[in-house]
Amino acid sequence: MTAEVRRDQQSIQSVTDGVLLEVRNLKKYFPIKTGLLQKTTGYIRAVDGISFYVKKGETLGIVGESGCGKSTAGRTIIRLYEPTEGQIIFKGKDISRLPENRLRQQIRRDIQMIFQDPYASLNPRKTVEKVLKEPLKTHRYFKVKSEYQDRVDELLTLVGLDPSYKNRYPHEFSGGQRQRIGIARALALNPDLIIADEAVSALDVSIQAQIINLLHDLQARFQLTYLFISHDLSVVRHISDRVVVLYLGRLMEWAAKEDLFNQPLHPYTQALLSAVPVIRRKGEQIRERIVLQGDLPSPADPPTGCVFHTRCPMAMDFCRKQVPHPKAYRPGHFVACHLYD
Amino acid sequence: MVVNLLEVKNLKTYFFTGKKVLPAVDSVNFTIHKGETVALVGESGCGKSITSLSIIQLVPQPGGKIVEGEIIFDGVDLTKLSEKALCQIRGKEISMIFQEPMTSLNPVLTVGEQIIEVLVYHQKMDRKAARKKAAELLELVGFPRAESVLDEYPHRLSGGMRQRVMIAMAVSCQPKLLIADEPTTALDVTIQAQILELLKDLTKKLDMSILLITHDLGVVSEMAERVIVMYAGQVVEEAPIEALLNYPLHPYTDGLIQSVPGISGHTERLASIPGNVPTPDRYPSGCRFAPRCKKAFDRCFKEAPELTDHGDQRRVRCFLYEMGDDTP
Repeated sequence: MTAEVRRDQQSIQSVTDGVLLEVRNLKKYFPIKTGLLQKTTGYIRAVDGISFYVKKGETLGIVGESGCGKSTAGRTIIRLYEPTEGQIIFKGKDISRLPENRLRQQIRRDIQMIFQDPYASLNPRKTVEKVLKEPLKTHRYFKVKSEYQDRVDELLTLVGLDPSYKNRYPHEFSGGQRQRIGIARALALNPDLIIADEAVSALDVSIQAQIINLLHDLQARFQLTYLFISHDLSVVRHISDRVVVLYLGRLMEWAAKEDLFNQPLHPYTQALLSAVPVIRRKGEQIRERIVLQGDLPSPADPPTGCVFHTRCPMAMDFCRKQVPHPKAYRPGHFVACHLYD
Repeated sequence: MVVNLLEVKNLKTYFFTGKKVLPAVDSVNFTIHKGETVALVGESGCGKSITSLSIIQLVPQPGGKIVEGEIIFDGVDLTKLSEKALCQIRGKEISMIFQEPMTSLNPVLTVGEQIIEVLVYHQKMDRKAARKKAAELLELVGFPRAESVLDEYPHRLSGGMRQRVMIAMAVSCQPKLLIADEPTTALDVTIQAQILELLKDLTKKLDMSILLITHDLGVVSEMAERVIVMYAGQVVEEAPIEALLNYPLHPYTDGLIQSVPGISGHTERLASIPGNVPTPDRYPSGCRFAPRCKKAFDRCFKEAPELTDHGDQRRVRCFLYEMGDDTP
């Protein structure tokens, strides 16, 4: 580890008051297996050394394009995938190597997940009541049977559904209602952290707005912390307090929402923001668009140096050789780019 | 001078399933002028894709049927044409690109063969000339090493590249109309930006009209000159793009625009439309938007409003604007 990296990690750690989750140098590699003997011939570097933290009650948005590792990061944090390297510190404890049984007792109820496709993430053969009771029963949440019943009613009311719907099956609901059920299930065990992986991406815009508002209300009411993973920059801008931008498994930029959207530093963030088609209202100027050339390189064989140099309009010779590490450009605004060395 | 390229008149496409009749598209009227980009906007299930499939007479079978209406393309009513005549129009005069290019490309044929097939069929070219033309087309849509891409299979290409191949095939015969059904929805934003630039560029170069079908008002704002908003199988509003985005008339259009979280950043609550989009078997009587409408009054629940002219190329289906009264 270079002296520089160490200093940066210290600067990250120096502001750790009220931090609920911290990720340090997290890596997740997937082996590429080929041939009859399934020999490992290489690795997909889905997440390649990212560090960030989330404070309690805050929403951290994670954005990036497909293949940037944002979903893998979310799933590794909740330990659906085993991290290859790095630490996941949740409530002050490193959970990255915790064995499964202790994980279940301590962590799984405190971290919950909401998925993109509510059609796929609800069991079609279970009624809503069963779906919502399942996590409660697994964790033996209550002692008295009737309490389970009351909790189901309470959860449905919380997410804006009529408790009388509990005997219905998932297919009887619309997409937005199903996502509400997914949210109710995530809330069942009173979690501290909710990881929402593209939670509103499959919904129509009028329904999407309803769900975003619901997430806002629930956060205020239960002091929830969100890790909001999305490719949709407008939604992330709306919901997040801070935002992390990933590209090819690496952290490009990490800043408070206002800083990131008003003054993006990294050339990738700048291009990403300029690419979003927006509704132009009267008098608004046409923004200059940075159209990136080419496609995302393969994460099995990432470019040397800065992973973005192959598409970067500002790339210098130096960028091909030296990997840039995230550095604080100003307090709380980190950027991994040699332009700001 | 404005020349009408496509006129859709009173189009009704219904689906017949068992005893139920589902009016997926219900009396839709609109026109597209030569060289113009028109967007058809609406949420899932509003009938926008079925409208576009009706235009090229490819309504999903069995069950789907155009029960009424005319589709006049370049002076000819497509609903009256034989299958053979339609084959001469599809892919040549009107072509279409879809959301997911992988499902529309043949996985066992090379990219080159698929483009050559179109050229041989419609332009009666010989294979050698067609191959040369195919390489030119791939260059046109932005492939730097076009020759080598000809021999690639679709699975070797990325999503953005596949969509470029689809576009190359679609414009291979210089169509007069390109129907683009959610062409960038499956793509990442930086790739979406590339494809939108390409489509804009091609409309100028080839002088073609685009019917852009999308749910993304941002894309509409960047691409279209006119917008048609559909809700529950009907056109509820039609207007030039600027007018629509700045002064939407129909409460649904207004709600749709307000629901989009702005990239320009406001943190207050999003204005959402309560309730859900009704399914075709449960369309309410009266105005179909009334149960979700904030401004609905008694009449909205009893009578169905007509699509009425509102001047300045605008049309709206709402009682609030009847009889020239434009102050809701």
